[in-house]
Amino acid sequence: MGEKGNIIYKIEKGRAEFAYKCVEDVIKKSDQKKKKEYQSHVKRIPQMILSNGLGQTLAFIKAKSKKGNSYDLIYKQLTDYMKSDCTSRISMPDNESDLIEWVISCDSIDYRYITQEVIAFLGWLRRFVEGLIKEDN
Amino acid sequence: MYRKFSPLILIAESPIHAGSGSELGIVDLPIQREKYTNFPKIEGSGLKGCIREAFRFSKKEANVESSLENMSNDDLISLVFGPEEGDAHAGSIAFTDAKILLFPVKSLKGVFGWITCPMVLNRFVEDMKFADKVDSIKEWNLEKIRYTVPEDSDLVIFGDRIVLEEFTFKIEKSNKTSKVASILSNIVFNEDTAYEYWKDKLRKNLVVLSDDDFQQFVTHSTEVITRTKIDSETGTVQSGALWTEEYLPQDSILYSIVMTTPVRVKEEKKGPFKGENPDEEAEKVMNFFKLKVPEVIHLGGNQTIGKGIVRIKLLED
Repeated sequence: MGEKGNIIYKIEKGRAEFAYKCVEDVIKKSDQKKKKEYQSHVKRIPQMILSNGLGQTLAFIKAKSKKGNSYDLIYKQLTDYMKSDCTSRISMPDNESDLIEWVISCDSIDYRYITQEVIAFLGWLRRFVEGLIKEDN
Repeated sequence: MYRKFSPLILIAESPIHAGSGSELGIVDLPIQREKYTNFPKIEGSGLKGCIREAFRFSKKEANVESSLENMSNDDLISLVFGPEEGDAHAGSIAFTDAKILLFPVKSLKGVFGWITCPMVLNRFVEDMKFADKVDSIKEWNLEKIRYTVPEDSDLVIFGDRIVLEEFTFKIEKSNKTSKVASILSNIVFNEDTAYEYWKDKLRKNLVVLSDDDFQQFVTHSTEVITRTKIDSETGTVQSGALWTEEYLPQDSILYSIVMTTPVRVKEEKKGPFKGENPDEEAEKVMNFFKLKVPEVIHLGGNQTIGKGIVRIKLLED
């Protein structure tokens, strides 16, 4: 992810780069079916956050997660991102292990910052997913 | 040089989609926003176009006496709004971008409240000073007004909390805010028994948050709907025909300022807008506008699916 000192100069503090690497990782390690699943979930989740709130959406993703499926992957990526130093206003403390557990323990203001942060990250993820995962025609 | 000013209150009677085209955000078709605050707005050009169209079909009589023979409604509109074709002369009426004043947000108690913030209220005061109208707001005291509600607010739970969407705020009841809310309710709603309910609701259910909170809500609490196109053959969604659209919710309240100059044509062509001096001529254009403007206009996109119905109120005093 580059050195901490340089990160401020990258596009949105390296958020874009982080998202690109996440999508690249999926492309390398998944079969076509999983790629397509990942793509459709990533496109739907931002909308879910806007309509239902971050807490509800994360709970839904966690409920749908099975080891190694695309929801599980997205949940892990969101967790990694919130722990990275690419976030702008708030990041997940190292002693926290579960994203949703940390999110629901935050106060209103932090909760809103996390929401913004996750939506901004998903915005990039969504673009890259559309560009990098092509129709299998 | 604009000489006459009149503020215009816009009440969304159905959701409004004043679109900004497409953007690289979460929503495919977002609404127009101010670049540096992210507050929703409606471009002056869109407002002017929609009002011009409303004038063409307006049933209201403007009672203008024309010294010129056969001046049709379209000719008058052309003088006031500028010609439809070509660039012979500019219009003599102008509209500022509509700015947000009050934004409705879901509340745990009382269904919904109208939120605003110090930045918006201070802007409104400045704009009314610029238009030299609505003297009553000079009585407002906007110091330390963040996180307050009127004294008889319906939204408060546990004595000092309100819950908007999924966020809890600690707030104070304040008689300063009561005053702001009661003046706002008189500004926004007509003197008509039909509006008594809404007036009362605004008097009680105004919430002044901080600028940051307000920005959050107007960014993330607009209405976003998903639309699809169904293939009539298969009865399922056509491939690629699924998109999201953003709307300013119903009951959002915005305001704009109407400004007029003398009509910008030669003396002999001024017709009913001719006067002794420029002030009087600008006044005549303003009167024409006030007499002819319909109470309800259509604004923004998706009118065929019931969007963009806006009630207009002119502020006189």
